[in-house]
Amino acid sequence: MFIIEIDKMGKLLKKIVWIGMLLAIPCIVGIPFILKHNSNMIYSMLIVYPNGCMMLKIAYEFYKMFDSLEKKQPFTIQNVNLLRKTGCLSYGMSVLWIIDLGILIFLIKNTYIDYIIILIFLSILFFGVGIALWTLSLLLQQATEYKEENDLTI
Amino acid sequence: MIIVNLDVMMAKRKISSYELADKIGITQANLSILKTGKGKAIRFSTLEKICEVLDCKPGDILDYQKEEKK
Repeated sequence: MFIIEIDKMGKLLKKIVWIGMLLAIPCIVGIPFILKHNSNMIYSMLIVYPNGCMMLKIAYEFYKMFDSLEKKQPFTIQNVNLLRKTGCLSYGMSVLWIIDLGILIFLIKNTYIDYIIILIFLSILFFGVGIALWTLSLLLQQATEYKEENDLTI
Repeated sequence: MIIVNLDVMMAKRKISSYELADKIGITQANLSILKTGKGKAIRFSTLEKICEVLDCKPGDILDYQKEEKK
């Protein structure tokens, strides 16, 4: 049976997230230049920017979490807080996509159904991710409590 | 709350932490957790060994004190 070594997996995931973050930074910085000629997207850019920053923050929180995987100590209260924080950020992103949707419909009066569907999908997706992360944080909290109890049973 | 009087019993029996941990078969770190009351639970097997080594009853080591409401 193929068994994943947790520390090696932690190292690999850390590298993947690090590469992702390195690629994401120029994308976020380059957004104004990419959308320079599209005046309809200026309002949306105000939403895309904080969303990009939030996404980077989520990636960074995961990067820190994989650090604990590398150290083979995943059941810590720090990880519970990190998951909770990423969950909150995900809710925030969902709200920002809804705001973007509002701007697109009521301010810009955009009738492109594709954009609207994508934004609805994104807001639902990030809300779902937020719920999943929040649930995972509660599960990890319970597991951490059990582990602590087990460690302190003499 | 449960009070652990292990150090009192150890003093009575004039036994060191190192010796007791060695005889029970637990680490000194775990014995320290037990002595300082940081432990969450104690196994019957550990309690049995402590009683055997210190020649006492569980009641001599563990005591119950009612917690005062703040």
